[in-house]
Parts: sequence; structure tokens; C-alpha cells
Amino acid sequence: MKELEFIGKSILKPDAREKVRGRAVFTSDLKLPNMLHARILRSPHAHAKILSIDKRAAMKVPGVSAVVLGKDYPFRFGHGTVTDTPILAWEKVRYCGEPVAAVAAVDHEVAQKAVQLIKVEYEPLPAVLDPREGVGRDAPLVHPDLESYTKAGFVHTVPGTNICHHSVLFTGDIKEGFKNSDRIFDNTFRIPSIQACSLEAHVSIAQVDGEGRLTIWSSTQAPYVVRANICDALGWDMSRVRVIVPSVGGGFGSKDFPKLELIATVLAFEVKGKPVRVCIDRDEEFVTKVRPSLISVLKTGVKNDGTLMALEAELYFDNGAYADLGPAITQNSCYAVTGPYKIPHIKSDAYCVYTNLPVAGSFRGFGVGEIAWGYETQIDIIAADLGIDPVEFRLKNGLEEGSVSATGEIMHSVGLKECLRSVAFEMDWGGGTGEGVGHGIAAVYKGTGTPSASAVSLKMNEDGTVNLLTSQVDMGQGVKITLAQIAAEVIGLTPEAIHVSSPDTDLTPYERSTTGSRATFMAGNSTLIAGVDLRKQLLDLASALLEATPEDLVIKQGRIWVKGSPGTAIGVEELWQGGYYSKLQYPLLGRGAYTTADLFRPIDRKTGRSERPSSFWMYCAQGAEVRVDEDTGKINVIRVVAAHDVGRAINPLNCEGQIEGSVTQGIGIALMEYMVFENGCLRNSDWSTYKIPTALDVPPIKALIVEAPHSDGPFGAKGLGEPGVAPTPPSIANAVFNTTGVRIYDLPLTPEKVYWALKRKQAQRRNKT
Amino acid sequence: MAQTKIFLQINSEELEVTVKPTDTLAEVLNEKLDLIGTKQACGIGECGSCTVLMDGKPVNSCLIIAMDAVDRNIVTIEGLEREDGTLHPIQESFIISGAVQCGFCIPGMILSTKALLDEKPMPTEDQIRESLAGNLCRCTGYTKIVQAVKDASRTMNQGNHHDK
Repeated sequence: MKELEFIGKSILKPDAREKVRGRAVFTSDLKLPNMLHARILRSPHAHAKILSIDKRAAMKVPGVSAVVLGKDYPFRFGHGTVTDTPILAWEKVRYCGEPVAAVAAVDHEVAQKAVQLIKVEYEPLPAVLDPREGVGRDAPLVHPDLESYTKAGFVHTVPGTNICHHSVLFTGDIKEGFKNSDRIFDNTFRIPSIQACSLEAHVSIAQVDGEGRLTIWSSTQAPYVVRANICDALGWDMSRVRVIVPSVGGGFGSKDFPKLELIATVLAFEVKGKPVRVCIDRDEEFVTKVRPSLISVLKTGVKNDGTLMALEAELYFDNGAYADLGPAITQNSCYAVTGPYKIPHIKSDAYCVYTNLPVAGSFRGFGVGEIAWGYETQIDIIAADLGIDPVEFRLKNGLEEGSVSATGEIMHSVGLKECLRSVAFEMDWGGGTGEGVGHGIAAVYKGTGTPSASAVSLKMNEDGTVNLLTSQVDMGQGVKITLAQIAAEVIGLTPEAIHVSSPDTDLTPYERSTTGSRATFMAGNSTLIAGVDLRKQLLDLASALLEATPEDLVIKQGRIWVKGSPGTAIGVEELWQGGYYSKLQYPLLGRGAYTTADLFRPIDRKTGRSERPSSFWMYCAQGAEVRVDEDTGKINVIRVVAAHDVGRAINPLNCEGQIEGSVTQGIGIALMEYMVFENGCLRNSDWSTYKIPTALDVPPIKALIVEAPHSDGPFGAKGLGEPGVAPTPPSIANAVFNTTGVRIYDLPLTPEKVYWALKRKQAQRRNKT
Repeated sequence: MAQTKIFLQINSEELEVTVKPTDTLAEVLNEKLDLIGTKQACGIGECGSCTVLMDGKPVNSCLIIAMDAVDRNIVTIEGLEREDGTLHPIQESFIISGAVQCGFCIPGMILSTKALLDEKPMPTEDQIRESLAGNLCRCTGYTKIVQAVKDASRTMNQGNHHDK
């Protein structure tokens, strides 16, 4: 096997330099000539009719250029999911914080002054604030016109209800499964809404030029999704819209669907060529996109020896007022709710429910964090009850290479058991903990959105350097250096010679999005294909110059020579300079495109089964070591060990960064993060009331990289970005159980919850004696 | 609202700027002085992204009224590197440790680090985490940031380095 030069090396990211200097340009750093500033008027009600809007006073404020209402642009968007979202609300508002009007003005202050002068008359309506109540036939309807919306093929709404989408999975025979079980465990788990809390809030700028072309600059993870939604909503040709993505200050899934871009667009239409920037405050960011809350009802059947037999699951996702990508999250969760285990009999029903709460959608994990809380706590409950070690229980039932999955897929590249064993070894599992210290473990698997497509171009410059054109968004995860490493390896250049672009839909080729942990696999594969293409072009040219066949040539670190004769070496740039380029007269352009459409197997509508719903699956296990202060209920996480199967680590340093970052978010979700609503309005919309981990909240995190190479991945690589956030909460909760005997079913594990659970347990013990 | 011309000492330069009484230092840096490195993530002093050094101490510039910053020595992230572009050891250390992901918290994080190391050249891990507790990061989990601070402290204490 050929020795690899750049794959598996922790090469530093070139863009780190501009970031430590404070020179990286984020969307709100852009100062365009004549740029106007926008502010949004938002609904104070969770559910209400809009009776009237009077904007006359706002229009009169000096410095105001435009005041736009929903009815001025009565279009809905939601391409690829459910086209249910108005650009600005008209007729009805469906969540507290929903945009109702927008003002563009000479500065932020004038815009805000004008917004406050817009008079709206509302008639409040009964609101749906709980997904289980929301599915009832008597619940008020968030979308009475649900049937009239355009929906993507896989979406299955239930008419006359708030069920935006319902997914099912039937595997085996659930009745048989429970009949053959020795024990049945039936539990309900709850996880509240949380918020991505990217340090950079959503922000978009829009400008319509003299030709009528629209340019958008936006902090987004999905420029092509933004473009598709704008064009779909407005009925425009895609060539009329350009989406540019400057540096992005975090996304974590929250920026994968249009939010402010369409508001900026309609304001741009009103102001004759001036750019309009829509910048929001942190409290507005909190209600722009959330991760759905979930109620999981899990009934698991198991044999006394610990063999899992049956799972009946009901999942109620609170999707908020509009669909966003909720239906896909619900679908993926429906079949992944087994966890990474062999369970022969499954009945799963997952509901994506409209409520009058802020819109829920993607957050790191696309459902996996939400469902793993339930399934990994359930597994631990069962293991404890049967007296089986939690690691052994998971190893006994865990998927491995060749196992059949919940949907009937033959699983390939399954590093689960190595992850579990690595964590157990690192923690000295079973070796005894100190007094008052507990160990807990959890394991998770996650697929990636399939099918999807990616394209990359490699444009060689006359001096032998290369511009790699991609619409992948580097938000700090390091996709740029990963692609440069892959390209360098395949072509025979160095990563330093390859500059990786940021997205610009006029210039960088199609990429579905930077989501779903797909970047390395998808864009890595297109880069590999483009690299092979470019390499062939170089060799064809060089073979003329060096008078050898292409097969006899070596390219390494930007130099080409005849095999065995290093003295013949020329630099790649000499292919141009040597005159041979101008003779042959064609540009050196490597073209690569990769799709998973051919390997994807659609999910059967009736059964929910598929032989390949996901192009690859990631596996991970995490162990938490905790101490609980029984006087206060406070959990002290002493350390976390996280083992992740990435297929192949292209850049180990950046892999560690992803693991450490996702585990930290997991700690936040485990211990402190939850959105508090009162009558549907968010009460904790800043960082003093919605706490996220600080440097003081994070214990030592030991990141372990496991490699179970995937035959379809570039150099065997799969993905990593998301799964780490999912096992952390259950592993901590399982550790709490291990040390205190207390089991918690609802996140987060606040000190109050733990304290009262401890008190109840003590009372139960006293009552028994 | 009445605008006033003031002089601010920023990165060893005296800069003239016209401000309103309600303008914060963060707003003036970003919008009037084109110093975009100082980031505003919350605008209400809860995240530390807008951290600058004022007379050597880290402050949330979104909570400082610009007019109150007159006669104070302000250092922003742009002022950390040398004139010839050589990076400060803290900046180098953040790059090498892999501590930079999206970069939005980084200017504030680096300036808080500078304030710490100026006061405590060899801090313990607990002291590092305490000093950085006012700088939120959502990407990195702080692990490599803390490592970067330790490495910077070692580099800076090797005796032959002069920083600003």
C-alpha cells in the first residue's frame, strides 16, 4: 500500500492566521457603499390573527428607505421540505418572535426607531405548545392550509392535524418480539428545546444590481439551498441569483436553511440598488432556529441474558411553527432510534408536530442527540436491572461489520465495538472508582443525509499552484485544509500550493450543503475525482515534454520526473512555461463530481425499510466520570473519554477539535441548556439565563480516534462533525446513576432535579425499612 | 443626538472620531474605525467576544461608552502583532495548537490571555480557565485554547522574547 504523504497528518489550517489577527471578514464586517440597515418587527404572540398593520408613522421617520409587510410579498418558501414559511407573516402569526415587518434605513438606530412605530393589531388565538397535545384531533391548527402546501416526495403530512410529517418503521413482528421477551421496559424520556448559540448570529445582506441580478452575502452553511429557496419562492431563474459566503462564525446546523436571506431580498427590491443588511440581536437569534424538543416513549423487550428482542418507539418532535428540515430529522430519527444495536423486531412511529413555538430544525446531529438521550438511558436501565455490565451489554448487542440494521441494511465500516473497548480501557472500566465517583457510558451511531451531490473544480494556475473551487463552508472545522490535503495527495502537489475558495454560487460548483458530517466524504470524493482528472492532464502534457509515457512518470510535491530518473525532474509550472502549454492550448482544469444517488435505496413508504438509507454511518462511544454533591445536586464531571470511528482521520488535530467541541456542547445540553417558554414566548434569550459551558465547565476530554475504513470514502474517511454531542448527556446521566442510584428521565440534569431525585430515593429507602 | 469629536488612544495611535453619547466603544471600533477584529456576539457583556484591553485590563467594549474611553490606553486584536506583521507569541500558539475554529471568539480570547499572562506569566490551568471564563466559545470546547495559553506562557518565559 502506497505510503501517504499528507493524509493522516495534522497540517495547520491556513485561515487560522487571519482569525488570530482579527482580519477574517464575516458577513457583518462587510461595509458596502450606500448600505442600508434593517430591523425586524416581531410577533409578541405565539398564535394570533393579524387584523391590521399601520406603517404610516414608520415611513415618515427621516432616514427610512423602506417598510415591508408580509402582504407586500406574499410568498412562501421551503424548497425540498414543506413550502410553508412566509417571508414575513401575513394574515396570521404562528410563533412569538415571528417576523411581521421589516424596515431598511440609513442606520440601525433609525431602523429600530421606525420598527417601534409600526402599529399591529392582533387577535390572539389558542396556541399549541406541546407536541403530544398537538397531535390530537382537537388541537388548534397551526396550519389549517397544510394540504395546499407543496411538499417534497418523502413528506407525509396527516390532513386536518398538526402532524407535519409522520414516519414509520416496521421490522420483524413486534408482537412476536415482545412475546419472546423475558422482560419489557417502558419509559418516557424528555429533552427540551436548545439553541445552537453560534457566536456569530444569523446575518444577511442583499443587493439587486442594475441588471436585476440579486447578490446575497450570508452567514450560511448552504448557499445553494438559499439560492434554490429564493428562486423557488419568487419564480426566478437560478442564474439571476448569486450567493456569497464570507467567514462564518459557527453554524452547528442552525444555518442550513434560509432565515434572513429572503427578508433582506424583499427589502433590497424596495431600495433601488442599495445593499440592505439584516443584522439581528442575540435575543432574536435565540428564536430564529432551535433544536426540537422531543418526547420519546420507548418500550423495549429483552431476554434475561441481555439479548435485545423488540423496540416499540413513539417519538414526538416539537417542530415549532414551520417545517424547516423537521420532516427529514423526524424520518432519520424514526429508523435510528434503535441505537447502534441489533434489534430484530421494531415498530417505530415518529411525528414531526407543528406547534406555536419557534421553528425547530437542524442542530448538530439532526435528531441523533434528541433520540440518543432516550435510547442510551433505556439501554442503561435495562443493563442495570438485569445485572449486566453496561459495556458488556452494549458489546453483546452492538452492530458489527455485516450486521443487519433496523431498516435491513447490511452494515459496513462499523467501528462501534472498538470505540466501546477504547473508552472502557481508557477509563479502566470495572476497575473501581473512588468514593462517590461514578462511571457511565453511552454509544451512538449516525448516518448522513442521502442522497446528495457535490462538485469540486481544480483550477491550475500558470505557476503550478492550484485554486480549489468548492462551495463547502469552512466554519472552523477545517474542511479547506482537508480538501487541500486530499488534492495534494492525489495530484502530487503540496497542500501549501492549493488555495481553497469560499463559496460563491457564480463561481464555485454545486455542493448540497455543509451539514450532516458530509463534507469530508462528499467533497473529499469530488476532490479526489477532480484531482485524478487534473493529474491525468498534467501527465499527458508532461509526457510530451519529458518524452515518456504517462505511466512512466511520477509527480510529487509539484515536481514531475521519469520513474527512476530524478535528474529529469521539472516543476509543474514548467509545463506552462516550457511552451508546451501554449502549444496544446487547453486550460488545466480538474473536474470532479460525486453523488450518493446511485448507492441510496429509498425508504419504503409503508414499511420504512431501506437497504441503504445512508451512504455511511459514524459510530462513537463516550464515557463520563462524575462526582455528585448530594447536598446540592450539583454534578461535577471529572473527565470525559470520547472514542469516534471516523473511517480515516485525514487531519487528526482537526478531528480532536471536533470531538472536544461536540462533547462540550453535550456537557452543556446535559447539565445546563434548556429553553424556557411562557405562553409560547421565550423567557431566557441571553447567555446569563441560557447558560452554555465556559472554560470553567469543561473537564479534561480525552479524544480517541478509531478508524474503520469505509470503502466508499476518500482514503476510507467518513465523517465526524456531529455525533459527539449525542452520547455525552446519557453517559453523564448513567454515571450519576452509577454513583447515586438515581435515574433522571428529563434533561437537563440541573442541580435541583438531581437534588429532589436524591431526596425521593432516600424517602423511598426510608419507607422500605 | 449631538455628535462630539473625541480622541481615542488605540494600539498606540491617537485616532480622532466623531461619536454620539450613546455609542459604545465596540460600535465605534467596528463602524467608525474599521477595526473589525473586535466582535459583537451579544452586545450586552455576556460573552467576551468584544474584549479589548483598557489600560492593560480586559473589558467588554460593548459595555464601555466610547466617550469614557478617552485618555485610556486601548489595545485591540489588531494592535497585538508587530508593525512588520510578526505575530505575538499568543497568536502563534493559538494557530499551532489548533485552538482556532470559527474564529469569532478568538480576538477576545487572545486579549484576555494577554491580560492574564502579563499579570501571571506562568498560570496554572485553573487560573487560565478562571481568566477565560468570561470568553465564551461554542466551537472548541476550550481544550486546545487552554493548551495554547500554556504553550504561549512557556514560549514567552523562555527569556529572550520581547512582546509589546
